Amino acid sequence: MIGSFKKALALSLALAALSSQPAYSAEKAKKVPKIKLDTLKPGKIKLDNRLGYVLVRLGPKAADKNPALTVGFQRIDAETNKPFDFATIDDVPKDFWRTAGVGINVGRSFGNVDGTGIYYVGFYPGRWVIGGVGQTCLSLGSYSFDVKQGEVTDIGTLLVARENGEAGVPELKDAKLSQDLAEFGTMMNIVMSEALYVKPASDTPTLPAELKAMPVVKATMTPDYRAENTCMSLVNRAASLQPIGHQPPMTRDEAVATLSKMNPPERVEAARKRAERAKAAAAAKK
Amino acid sequence: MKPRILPALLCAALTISATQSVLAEDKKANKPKDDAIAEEIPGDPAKFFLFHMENVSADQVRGDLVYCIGQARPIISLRDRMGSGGGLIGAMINARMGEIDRFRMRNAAMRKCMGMIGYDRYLVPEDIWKVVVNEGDIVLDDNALVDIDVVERMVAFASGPKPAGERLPK
Repeated sequence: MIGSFKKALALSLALAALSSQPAYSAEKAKKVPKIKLDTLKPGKIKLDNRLGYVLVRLGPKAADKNPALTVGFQRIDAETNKPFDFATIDDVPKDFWRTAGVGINVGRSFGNVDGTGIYYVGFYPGRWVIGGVGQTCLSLGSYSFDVKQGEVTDIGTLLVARENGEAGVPELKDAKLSQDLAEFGTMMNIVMSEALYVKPASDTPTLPAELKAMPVVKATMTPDYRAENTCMSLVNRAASLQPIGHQPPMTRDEAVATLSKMNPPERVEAARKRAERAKAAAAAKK
Repeated sequence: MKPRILPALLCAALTISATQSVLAEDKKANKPKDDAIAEEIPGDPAKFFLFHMENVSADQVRGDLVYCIGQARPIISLRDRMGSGGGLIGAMINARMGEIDRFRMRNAAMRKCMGMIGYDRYLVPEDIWKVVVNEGDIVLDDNALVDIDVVERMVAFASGPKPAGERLPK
């Protein structure tokens, strides 16, 4: 009798241990995988249900004088419609970096349409802007659009090229810098900017099986998103936008106030001290 | 002033990879053209120029100029992003080269911005240019500051009579 009790106890302990094992595993499995905003690769699709997916046609294909260019996207604050602005590095939420920027390159695509490749890219839900192309910041005018979780957002066709007049697509034939800029430099052309043309797509390609369950939504591309030159790079305006036009007029006092915000106070102070020293040195010479 | 670290770093990360590919392409091209080292070319149309528009008010020019200066001012060069080797001498050479690169890039950004708004670009004799711009360039002075007096002189030029000098491509 005692023996059978012991057996029963051992069995129940073993069962308890077994039953607690999955709970422990589940605890371990709760470790949340890092968010990766990657371009999906044909045949190797892994979806993340925390994300939305952007459908984009990107081209033209790289050619001799037009290497493949990265198109950079930046998530912005949907409330302010401006870039997220954190006072210090400590204010940045954990893993925010993983959710705030996407770069898309021409590469293995899900098919071709009119010389452009079809790509699907994971985007963190929220408001995004096309921030730059290659080494050029589109701060003079770009587009913003919203991405929702569990949806495929179709942002149309993006045509990108260096402004050397050899884009090979009619939409960018006028994107040409003057000759002195186009031919500048020996090692590399540091003044060569890149151009972007955005056009809506007329049809939707057949989605990969993994994405078929998601609704496809045509993005509302809000034009003329302007920002400061936060890329600290050459600047441009999307060639598909209306001309930029004049800025609001400014009195001298308004200009002084604006410039005082641009000039870092420590640099102003350093310049003042330098001027004082130069003055003192000049006086000493006399 | 709040530091705008986040967007700047994000964009920098995206642009560095792109710029590296451009660098590789241009090395292949091996263009027989002048270099950024050739900083002082007498009458250099890439440096000694100013903007002008007919029938425009001084306040309008000021608004446009300040906007474009705001866009061009933050520009840093690839050398600034990548750093340098070669010890102290290498760092000094790189710093100087980086300064020239930034100057060229700021000029290119101003041409893009003002040109898009509709301003023409005119070649200006070096001595007159130096009176208007003083030391530095059309964006920053030698202390890396935007000088309101320089802006005012550029406003007067841009909204004044049509310049006698050659009209240059934008």
